[in-house]
Amino acid sequence: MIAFMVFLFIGLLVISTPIAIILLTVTGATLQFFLHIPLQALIQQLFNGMDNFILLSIPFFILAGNIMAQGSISKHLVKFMQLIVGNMPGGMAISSILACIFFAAISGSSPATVIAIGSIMIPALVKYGYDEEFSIGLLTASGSMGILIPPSIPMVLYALVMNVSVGRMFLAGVLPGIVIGGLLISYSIFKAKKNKWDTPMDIDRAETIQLVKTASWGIAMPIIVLGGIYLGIFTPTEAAAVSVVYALLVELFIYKDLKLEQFHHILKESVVLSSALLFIISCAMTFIWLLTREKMPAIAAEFLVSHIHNKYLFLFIINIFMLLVGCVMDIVSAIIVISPILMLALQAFDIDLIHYGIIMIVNIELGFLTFPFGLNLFVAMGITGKSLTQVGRAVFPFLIILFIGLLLITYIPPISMLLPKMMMP
Amino acid sequence: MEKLFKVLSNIEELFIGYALLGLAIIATLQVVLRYTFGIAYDWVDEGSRYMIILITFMGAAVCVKYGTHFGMDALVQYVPNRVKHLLKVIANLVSAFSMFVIFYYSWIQIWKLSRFGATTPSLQIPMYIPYLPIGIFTLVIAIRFLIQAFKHGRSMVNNSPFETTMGVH
Repeated sequence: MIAFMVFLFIGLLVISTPIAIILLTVTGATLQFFLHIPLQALIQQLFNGMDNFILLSIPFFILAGNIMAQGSISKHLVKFMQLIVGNMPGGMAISSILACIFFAAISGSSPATVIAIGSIMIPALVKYGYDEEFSIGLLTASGSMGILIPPSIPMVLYALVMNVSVGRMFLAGVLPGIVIGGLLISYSIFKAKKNKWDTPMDIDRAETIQLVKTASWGIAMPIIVLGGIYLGIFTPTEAAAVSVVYALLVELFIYKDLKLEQFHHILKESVVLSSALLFIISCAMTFIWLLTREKMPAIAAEFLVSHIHNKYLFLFIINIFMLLVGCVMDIVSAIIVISPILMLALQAFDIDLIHYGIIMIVNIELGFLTFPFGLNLFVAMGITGKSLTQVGRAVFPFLIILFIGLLLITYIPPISMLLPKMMMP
Repeated sequence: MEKLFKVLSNIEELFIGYALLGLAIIATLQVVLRYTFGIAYDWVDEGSRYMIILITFMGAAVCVKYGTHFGMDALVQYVPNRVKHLLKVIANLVSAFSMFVIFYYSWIQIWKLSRFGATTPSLQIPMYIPYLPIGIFTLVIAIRFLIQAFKHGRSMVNNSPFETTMGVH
């Protein structure tokens, strides 16, 4: 049966069948031919998998992210960051990274972050004398932090399939985000000093006050959303809903430059991306139900524990494996399918599911940046007009930095576990 | 006729978009009401959960139209043009077949539920109603996969170039 499932899965995968359909087909065929369970059970599981309020947070975060990315909130955020660190060596680069981190804290998606900050900052960096390749690489890589710093869509997906708390996942991502942000900032300062990219900026006082005023609407957002979740005012799903309404109100009544046509475009884009994700997750839930029913996680755990004796080696192998998988297929779907199979093995190795979740999220970041299927590469192509190869080469040094970050986060569990242990024990 | 289809497909996407926006507004109002007056409605949660089923399946049909469902296109990029189209035809036919099967069994499930006459916990509507989007849109998805298969089949015969749709995200 397992052989049949694996062959059917891989067979359908290589001819580029949509992953959601593969998951349904494999589950259905196994139920029909091997377990002789009537297929209505599949329909019921499909329904039960969807019948979950937390799923709704996914389209909400996507919609809120798109509204902010294409509206004016992101522009004001960037200006504000320039004001703070613009005069340091590599100031423009640092302000781009900070803007990405901040934007990540209000949107849950990594491509949205690249669009929002990258489309403003790449041209700006080039104008101030930064190397073009460096600028593209920096923004494409920094944008990937969108999924590590809460809120985060992949974290919601992971929490769903692994049955862990979304709130704890969100908290666990904060410090790793700061670590990776720190690595990127150090590298930028080093490059800027070496190449003498200096950008003195003069901003007069009246302008400063005005800038702080307009930008504060965007800056208030993560405080409302994350504060609300951790003070227990609303659930993560409600937080996502609030961020949609807040972003829309700010764009409509404060910045006042969102047009109806543009809004419809945002709606359509959000619909297409969120339903693709929702459809995958609902199909994945039925597949996971089948795996659990047939005790696959136990089989996998037994196999892995008897062959790999060391938890550090296990984590290293998983990381390399995910890196390779990320090169050939969509990494988010890979992780929501593979993680549940490993659930019991992780427990056997005494690895916390939250810590493992954060490792997977960093792996997704890397997957977004690896040639040739990284989502962020395509987004960067879209906003810069460069070829895939050029963008891939520009991102490469940053890929190494992120990999160092990945190793730090993998082998120093407190980076991820400190905050959730302190705040949500 | 072409124009009519365009309008219809536009309505489809905007309907889902505004439904999402509506749900977000309702959930926000729920938070405000709960926090200020301590009022909470059970049906908001249940209604939203059923709406998400509608949104998912209706949206999945939109994604087939644009070819934005995530898949692995790695291998397909390295084979000759005609083989590319052939693989796409097979992939789309398999997908269409699977969705027809789901379509068939979902109506069996709906029929069974309607016979039992069960209702949902807080909205008190018949239990089969939330299942209806699965029954309706799996058919739409299946038909759209067939159309895609047909398009690739025609391209294979004509040996016309393969267009990759990277989607809109």
